[in-house]
Amino acid sequence: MVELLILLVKVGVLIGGMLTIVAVMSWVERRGSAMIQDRLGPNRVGPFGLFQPVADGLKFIFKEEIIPSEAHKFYFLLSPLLVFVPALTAFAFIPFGSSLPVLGRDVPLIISDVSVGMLLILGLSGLSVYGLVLAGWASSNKYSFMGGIRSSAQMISYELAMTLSVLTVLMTTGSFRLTEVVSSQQGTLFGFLPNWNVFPQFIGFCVFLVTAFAETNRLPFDLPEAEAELVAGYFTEYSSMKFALFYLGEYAHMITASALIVTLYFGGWQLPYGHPEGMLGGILSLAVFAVKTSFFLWFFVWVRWTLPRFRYDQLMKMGWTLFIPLAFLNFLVVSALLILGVI
Amino acid sequence: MLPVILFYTMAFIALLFSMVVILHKNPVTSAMSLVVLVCSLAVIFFQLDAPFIAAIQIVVYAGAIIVLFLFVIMLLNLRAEVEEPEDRPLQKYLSYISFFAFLVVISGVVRLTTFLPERPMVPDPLRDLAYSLFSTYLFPFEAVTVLLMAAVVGAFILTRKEWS
Amino acid sequence: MIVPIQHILILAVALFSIGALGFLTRKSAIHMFLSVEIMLNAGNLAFLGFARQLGDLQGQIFTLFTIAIAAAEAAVGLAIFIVLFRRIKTVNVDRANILRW
Repeated sequence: MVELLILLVKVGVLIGGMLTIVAVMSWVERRGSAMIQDRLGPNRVGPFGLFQPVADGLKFIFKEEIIPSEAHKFYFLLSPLLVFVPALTAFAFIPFGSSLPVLGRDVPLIISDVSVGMLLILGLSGLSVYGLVLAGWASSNKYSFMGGIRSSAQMISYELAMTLSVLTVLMTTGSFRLTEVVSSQQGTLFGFLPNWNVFPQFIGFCVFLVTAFAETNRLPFDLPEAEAELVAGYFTEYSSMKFALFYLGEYAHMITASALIVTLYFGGWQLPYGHPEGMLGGILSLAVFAVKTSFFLWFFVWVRWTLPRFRYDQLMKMGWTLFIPLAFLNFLVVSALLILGVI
Repeated sequence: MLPVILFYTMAFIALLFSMVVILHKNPVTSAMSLVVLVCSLAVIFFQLDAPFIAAIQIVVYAGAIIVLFLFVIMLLNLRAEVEEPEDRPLQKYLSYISFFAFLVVISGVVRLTTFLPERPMVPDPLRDLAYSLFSTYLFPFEAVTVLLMAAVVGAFILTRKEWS
Repeated sequence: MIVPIQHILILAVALFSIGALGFLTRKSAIHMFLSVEIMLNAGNLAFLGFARQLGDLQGQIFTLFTIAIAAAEAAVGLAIFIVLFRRIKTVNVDRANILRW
């Protein structure tokens, strides 16, 4: 009974946290882009424009709900959910802290520690393809449909490279559990570097980073939703809260992707050279995880406003002819290092 | 208690949505119902101590095969076609009767069989599965690789416009 | 085991017969493909039920291969269907009757 209560508290905290961070990210995006482009961002609604997301939310709620007459209503309304929910669900398998000794027991800061966690995360990112392709198709609009097909083709292609680069991390760890991935990154490498997976598997990290950009449809891979090319891609026909769900869904995917990068390659919630135990360790792990994930969230925003976007054929060509061979190269290198006993 | 309720709920959802798959006119609804069916079966697979198969079911079936179906349906613009009047109604009635009879007969057989006593599952099915897949069953594993390669090449060659 | 093996087998048989029913009664090629997938899933369920009952992992290994084969079959089957569709312009397989007398 107490276990159930603790689980519900964890789920509530996680969902509440993610939804808040998603709203904060929209503020970060707008102020960050303004800083990069040498202008002010929103600065009227509250100090430094911090209440801008609240204003945006209110605006979205009060907008008129338009559903095109030719649209397939059920799938039109279902697709934003199909994009948003897998991103939230995938976070259930990511350890966001070590453990808190609460109520006389050690509460592990992960919602579900199944033995195949990483595989389920990959499966959930496959499920989010449905939201895109259904959104494009249900809108009964040529541009939406093309945007939807392009976007889902892009996601499927880059999923392969992502799976291959994750494969090497799982090989060196020996398990699909993300808690074990984190605990296998303890200690140091050659005495001075922290034993994070980014150092021996740097190529894999680069491939994973790029494919995370492609999976979340962020620049430089956001042609399917580019404003100038395809109106707005697969969410052209969406208005008010449905559009807000897509918009927030993109940020939710970003958060999950950043959390995954941190967990797989940067040691997760651990401090680099030894992590304390007990309550202090638990709270510190939460803070460390938050800092590391925020860095990568900022990195996503930074890259978006720095690089131009890829053309669609360049994008697909890169996915198949560059990143999959690179991921295989990474696999060869890491296998060689494993056999030689270096890692 | 809770796992048992979960199993029967998932079984009910599986049966319900499999009927939607075969009965609904719109192919997109059938494909999405198949996704629900596959995910509910994945939950049941989890409860049967096969976590790897459950995850693979979601990744491969729900994440790739049915997406392929959906792409084909959408790119060929397949609507909910009006099914023409059945010119061989006997086949339909016979199918319904025979498969209902099949279900009843097999359920009877299952009820009357004494199964071998239940043995405990190995403590780490994932690890043992991996080991046996790469040692005892290495040859079928490699053969399936060749099969998938053949399927990819075949699908590519079949759909080239200038060759058909 | 959480439920008796009989219940799992009855579920598998029910799913199989629903799938077979769909395959025989529907005339749309897509629905026939989906019914085949239901049948394959029913077979997987039966395999995994027995694997759990007997504590033997061979059922799980066979399920893995079945899923891989189902993927290959879906790919090639849909490719054939696309080529056929270009000819008959409809999903109704009764229209593919040129080779009949």
